[in-house]
Amino acid sequence: MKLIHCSDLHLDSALGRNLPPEKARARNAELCATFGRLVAFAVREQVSAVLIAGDLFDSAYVSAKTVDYVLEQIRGAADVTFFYIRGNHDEDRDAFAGLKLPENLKTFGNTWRSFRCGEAVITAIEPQGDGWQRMYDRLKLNEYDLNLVMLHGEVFTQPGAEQIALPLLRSKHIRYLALGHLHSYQKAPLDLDGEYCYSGCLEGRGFDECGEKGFALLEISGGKLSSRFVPFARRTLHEVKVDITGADTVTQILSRMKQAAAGIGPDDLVKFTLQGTYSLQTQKDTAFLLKMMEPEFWCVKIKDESRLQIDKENYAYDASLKGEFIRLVLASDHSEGEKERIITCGLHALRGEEVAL
Amino acid sequence: MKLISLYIENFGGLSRYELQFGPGLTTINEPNGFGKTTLAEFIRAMLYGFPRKVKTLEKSRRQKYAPWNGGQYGGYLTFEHENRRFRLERTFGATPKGDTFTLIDLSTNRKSNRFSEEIGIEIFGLDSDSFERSTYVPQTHEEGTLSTAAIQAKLTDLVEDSSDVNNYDKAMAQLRAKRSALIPYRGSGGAVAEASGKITQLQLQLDQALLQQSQLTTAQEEAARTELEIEQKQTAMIQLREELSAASEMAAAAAQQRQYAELRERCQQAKEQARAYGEKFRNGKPDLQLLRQKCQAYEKWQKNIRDLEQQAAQLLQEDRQGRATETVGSYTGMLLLGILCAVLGTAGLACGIAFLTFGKIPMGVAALCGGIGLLAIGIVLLIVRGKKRSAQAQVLELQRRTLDSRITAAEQELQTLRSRAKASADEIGVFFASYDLNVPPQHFFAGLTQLEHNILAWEQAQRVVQELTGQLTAMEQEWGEVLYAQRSSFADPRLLREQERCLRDEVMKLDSQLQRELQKIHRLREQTELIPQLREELAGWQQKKTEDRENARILDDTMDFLQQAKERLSGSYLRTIESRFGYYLAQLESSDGERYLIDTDLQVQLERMGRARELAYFSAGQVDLVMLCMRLALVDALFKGQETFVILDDPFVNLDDAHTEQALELLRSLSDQKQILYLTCHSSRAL
Repeated sequence: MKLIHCSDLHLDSALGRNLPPEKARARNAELCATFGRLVAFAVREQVSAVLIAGDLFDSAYVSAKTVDYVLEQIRGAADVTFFYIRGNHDEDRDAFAGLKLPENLKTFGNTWRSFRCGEAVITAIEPQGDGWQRMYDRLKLNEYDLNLVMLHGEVFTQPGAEQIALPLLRSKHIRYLALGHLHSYQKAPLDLDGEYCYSGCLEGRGFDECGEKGFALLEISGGKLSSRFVPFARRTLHEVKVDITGADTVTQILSRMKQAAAGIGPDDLVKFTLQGTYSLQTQKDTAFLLKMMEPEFWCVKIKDESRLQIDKENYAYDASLKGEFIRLVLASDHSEGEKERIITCGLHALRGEEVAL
Repeated sequence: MKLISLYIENFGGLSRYELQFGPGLTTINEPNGFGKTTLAEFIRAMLYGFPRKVKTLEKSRRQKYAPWNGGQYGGYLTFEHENRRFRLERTFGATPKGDTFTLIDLSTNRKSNRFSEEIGIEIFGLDSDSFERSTYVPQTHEEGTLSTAAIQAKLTDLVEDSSDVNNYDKAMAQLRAKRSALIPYRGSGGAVAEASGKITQLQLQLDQALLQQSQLTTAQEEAARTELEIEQKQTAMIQLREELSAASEMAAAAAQQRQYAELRERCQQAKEQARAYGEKFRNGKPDLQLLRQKCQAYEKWQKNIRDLEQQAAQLLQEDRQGRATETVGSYTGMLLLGILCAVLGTAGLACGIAFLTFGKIPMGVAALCGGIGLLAIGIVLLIVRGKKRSAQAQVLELQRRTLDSRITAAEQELQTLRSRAKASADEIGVFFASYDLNVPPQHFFAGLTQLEHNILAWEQAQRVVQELTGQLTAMEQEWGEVLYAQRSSFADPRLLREQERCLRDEVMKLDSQLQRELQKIHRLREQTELIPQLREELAGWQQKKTEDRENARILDDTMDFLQQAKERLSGSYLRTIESRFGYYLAQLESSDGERYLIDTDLQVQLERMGRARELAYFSAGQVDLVMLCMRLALVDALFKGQETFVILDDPFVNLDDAHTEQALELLRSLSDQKQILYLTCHSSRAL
């Protein structure tokens, strides 16, 4: 018997902060499509159940088309049972409110609820309000069952809202604690018999969600349970740090960027973070660099964290407008960042180059 | 600082080149390609070395001046500073690591630590670039008359790191344009205002969507309530159906019990009937055939009796008829006819007589004849009748006697038959009585039929009993305990069905209400699902507005700093420049009536004939001379009284002979005060 444990799909995410509008729309559609692919995978692999450990939707405002799509996918996979708990993102309002749910979609509430699924017993709760205070005491599992418990929150030593107190879940006869909330896959022992696992999100959305994304595939046979991570994302996000120290021309910077991004596929999303220092003579036009890198990947962002290196000594005896200007700026009360911006801005202007703000 | 001599081992195109500097003017009149610029660069390199960090964008000077013929790269410079002579030796490697620096105090011929490698900065307080820009005066390439602004820019350029003469103004113009695009200095518009407008618009949309969100919340709560109500009603309906099912079962069980009881009753009745019939036939089943034969025999006898009785009756009838015929009436016609004829004859006679009397002889004769005839006929008829009656009476008597004997015989036979029939009837009656039938002889066949019927009915009753018993057994087997179960009281299923129907109607109504609510939710949802997008757009525009404001502030600050820098730069050197410029100009111009004005922007105006005039009014040669004076003034200002030298790289190529002479004269006069290295490629301009 196979089961899928996934979480944090964040369908209908507002991706505009990370992506241009057109790509944000396309990516949002991809998030939905990945759920469709997951369902197709479940059907193809004869998976008995899919556990969705929260944050299926990104917010309380879910579009009707997304809800319909999800329900139709679930309805279409009649042989697969879907167990879904809401997470902190989609708990405010039930996206399925007022809709007729498919028979094979099981939802949970403020009290523990269990379903038998083949050899396994799947138990979950959506603690509302201060429900988290009582939920640990109220969890009673049969020690002879193969228990899978599903929760959404961050593992912690103490109980709390959106916190999962692992010590209070030990010796509860849990074989597999399916968790949602963290967006990267991680697995660790819970107690002598059990383990807890974050499946991570199915698709990375922002550059704080880099790396391989997918779900946990569980196999249960003869009372034995094993699980493994299955990469499943349509696209992977990468943050590539590029030290531009010593690279004075855009060609040199581009070369370093390409070198740093070697091995990344063209369908992926890449964020280059320029680091290190540059001098006043360095050609560093991020707009130009972006244009040059854009054809290489599905989406490219450039974050410039490199610092202008200005040695005061270099300008102490510079009897020029530039020297006077730099001395004045450096001696001002502005923050270091502002000083850097003002100097860059002023020198670009003096050199007759386009002032990039 | 005063230059004494230099020796170039190898530097660019110069090799093993030695030069002694005069105390004032040193002129080098060499053709093009000699390496005058290289010489100037060598002096700079001696004082400042090459930059340690090679800037990619600039062609490395180290590479540029690497010896063309190979060999040791470098040389030395002998100079006097604060009354002490030093020899500064430098050699250059391929990289800064390979560089060497040696300073020898020529008074002791020992290495000196008086200055470090940064000797240029230590002596002049200027960095390499500033030194180069101030002490090195290149050829002027400007054509035509220089505008005031251009001269001002040119002067400014001396302290700027750019060859663009107008870069400050351009820079400020670009910065102002950028700033104006964000927040205009005058009027409305700009990116910040656009962002503000967009923010207001989005905020309005968002507020509206949020309002709809509260409506959505209400609608969803209503829908949830309706759903709950539907659920409750459905639960009640399920309960009702269960009750109905139980009640129906009970009703069915009751019906079964009733049916069973009825069947048992019928069976009992059938048994009773069968038993009753059985009682009638306690002696066994009668021999109906024999009985039928007996009945038929009896019937036959009865028929015989009736025939005989009829026969006898007929005989008696005949007898009575015979007697009646004899007395009353045979030949009555004849008698009556005879009498009639006699009467008529008599009447005829009477009439004849009458007629004759009255004289009607014919008629009287006729009547007499007729009367006599009729009378005779009547008498004859009466005689004949008397004879006939007598003969008939004899025959009748004979017949009566015969008849009487036959009647007697018949009566005797009848008597016999009747006694037999009676015996038979008695026997049959007893037979019937033995089967509880009291049947009179005349109904023997009906009795027989009745008996047959009774037999059939008995058999039928037996069959019915058997059949009903079978049914009872089957029923007991099929329904078993249900038939004997105690029945508790239960609701009337019809009543329950009615209640269920009512509930179903209510659920249907609630369903349609829910559908309406869901449609409303759907509609509201379509509008509220834009909220994240609106929020994101709003946040984006707010961020943009903040960034634009910040950028505008940065631009303002940049322009402030640039302006301050320019003012400080100009201001700090202005006084010296002004006085020195005036001084140099006085050397140049013969007229004392002219005054020059210089402002903080280093704008030069010439006061002539009591009126300030811009330099645009002057010739190119004049402008070049003014420029030279300004350069020299600037050098004085920059070096702040430090004894220094100026390298002039053929700066007078644009001047006409008169102006050239003037310029050279200026140099000559200046050479008393200032060490000048004058490089020229033409003897006409040589000193």
